[in-house]
Amino acid sequence: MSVQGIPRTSPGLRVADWAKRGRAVVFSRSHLAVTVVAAAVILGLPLLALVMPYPHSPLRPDPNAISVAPNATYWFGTDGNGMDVFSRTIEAAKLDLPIAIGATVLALVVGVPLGLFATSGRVGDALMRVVDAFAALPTVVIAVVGIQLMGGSVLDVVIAIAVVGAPRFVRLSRAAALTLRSARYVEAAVATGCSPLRVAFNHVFRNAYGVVLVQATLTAANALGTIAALNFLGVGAKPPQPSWGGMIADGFSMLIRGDWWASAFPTAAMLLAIGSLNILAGALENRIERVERAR
Amino acid sequence: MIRYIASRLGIAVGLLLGLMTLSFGLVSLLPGDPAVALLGEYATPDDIARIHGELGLDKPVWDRYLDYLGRTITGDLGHSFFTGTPVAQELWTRLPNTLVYLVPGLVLALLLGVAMGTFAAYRSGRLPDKTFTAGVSVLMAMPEFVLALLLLFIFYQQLHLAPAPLGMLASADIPPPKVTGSVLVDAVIAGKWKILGSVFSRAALPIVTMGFFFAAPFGKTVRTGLLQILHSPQIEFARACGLRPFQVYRYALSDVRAALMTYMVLLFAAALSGAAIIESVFSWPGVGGWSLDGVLKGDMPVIQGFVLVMGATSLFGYVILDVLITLLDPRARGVALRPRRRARPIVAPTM
Repeated sequence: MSVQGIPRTSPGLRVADWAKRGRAVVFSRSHLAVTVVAAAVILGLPLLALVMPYPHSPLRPDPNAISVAPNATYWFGTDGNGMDVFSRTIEAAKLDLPIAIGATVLALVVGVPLGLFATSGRVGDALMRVVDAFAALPTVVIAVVGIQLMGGSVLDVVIAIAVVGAPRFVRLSRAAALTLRSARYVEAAVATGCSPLRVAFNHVFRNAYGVVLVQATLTAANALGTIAALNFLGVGAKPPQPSWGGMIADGFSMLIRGDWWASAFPTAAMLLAIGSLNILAGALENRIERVERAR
Repeated sequence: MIRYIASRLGIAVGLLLGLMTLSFGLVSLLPGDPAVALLGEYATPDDIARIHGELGLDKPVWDRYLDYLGRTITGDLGHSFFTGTPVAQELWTRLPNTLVYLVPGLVLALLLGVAMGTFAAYRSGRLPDKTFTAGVSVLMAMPEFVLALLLLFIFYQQLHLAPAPLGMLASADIPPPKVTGSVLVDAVIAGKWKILGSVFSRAALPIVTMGFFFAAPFGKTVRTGLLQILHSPQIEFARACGLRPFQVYRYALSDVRAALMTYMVLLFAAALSGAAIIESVFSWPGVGGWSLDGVLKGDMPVIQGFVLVMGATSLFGYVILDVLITLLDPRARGVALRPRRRARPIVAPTM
């Protein structure tokens, strides 16, 4: 993994830069629109689940409407238990997206300091071996083992996904620290007697956080897929609680018979969320490149 | 060279020991009593004590650790808590079932990836390249089970081309006489090619799923690698010499080879995890689905055995990879073959 996009000598990418430069320079108009839509999907879906009055309860089945095709009453149809697919698809966003984002944040909080401080010495080398070993393990299976051993609550899912995702941040922030530690301003900071903690976060990390942020967005997208895979296998969300992966698994037997809606809509919602996060990552990356080039 | 391989193997063996310790610790150090897991919540203390004796849990940890190491080295991975069958035997009979779609799937992915990546690099910036980039990002966003369901819906439900996802053999197929326990190997021994054909027709969708899913990262690696190397002086020189584009691209691709091979081993791990999901979608009687089932039921010997075998496979995959890369790359070969005279690392200023 390269550490392109890390400025070597100048202070960091500020969020304030977003507003300062004319927007037309930052994004082409269509690109900006796409980014806004993507952001709206990520922020809006869970919010929608919180405030929206559902047409039908996402948890209570209707015994008179089992496997009903999409119609005016049931916009997305109903599943094999007679539960409304539309309400459940929206409701699932409330669970899946926060887990994905929470796990990513946890992975960041654990991974970045480890990477920043494990730049040299025996501990650092040992840590990197562990990180390499992690990359060679199948993530979903490891996550399932971890969740089963810990007990299987939602928090366990967050922890398992964070553990699986953290090595990337270790590697990335370590690479940044190795590149930046010979930079003039880091030397100056050390020479003026800044504490290692201050140097690591205030000088090194602040000049590298753009790349880490891009990676974090991608990790959240990946996490959504992993969570769906876990729920598809029956690990994580408990049955009446809707999750995209679980809904897809429930709709599988219907899909085989040709009743596509019970799986198709949660799949579409999940792909929409994953795609939106990927678009956001791309937009961030563009943004960083532009800031780079402007210097 | 031999010394180099030996040192690599030595490291791998050391790591393997660590792996065994890890898989032992998985059971011994985690909370929860296997005897309770086995008998249920309402077991009498007598029963629990009896099971403890059977599993050897009444002995001290150190004894059990040595015992475990000894058994594992001789190839005894213990017995499943639930079915009582030996884990090692179960693994061996199921492994061919997984490899029968995993290997063709990865080969398909490699072919597709290299072909598409090369074409995208050849037409970089134009329509094929843009289509390729868009396609790859869609494929990368799609978890493998979604791809599997999509293919099933199209080819089984709509077009009726593929068989139902109900395992490896049709109910009408008569399994071959049991020799090794693995249906595939037995079919080859008995010369029942029809069964083999039936298995492969059922394996088609898993192979295509694997192929498409892993073609995306391969293609991306090839495209990025080629775009870098195509602007290098050596390729400019090859072009200036008037070599045909085919030759030029052959030279350029040999440069991407090492990156591709590294990816292949990394993907093997991802493929194992994908195997668990694909096997549960297609009810395929392979290693992935079986181990996943064991994990979900809390079948400790199965988990241990699986972690061990999987870790060992990845470890030796890395060793083979290192050796192959060294053999294929003259620059790396020089470094590996040089007599052991280590240059002092330049000490970077500490923070």
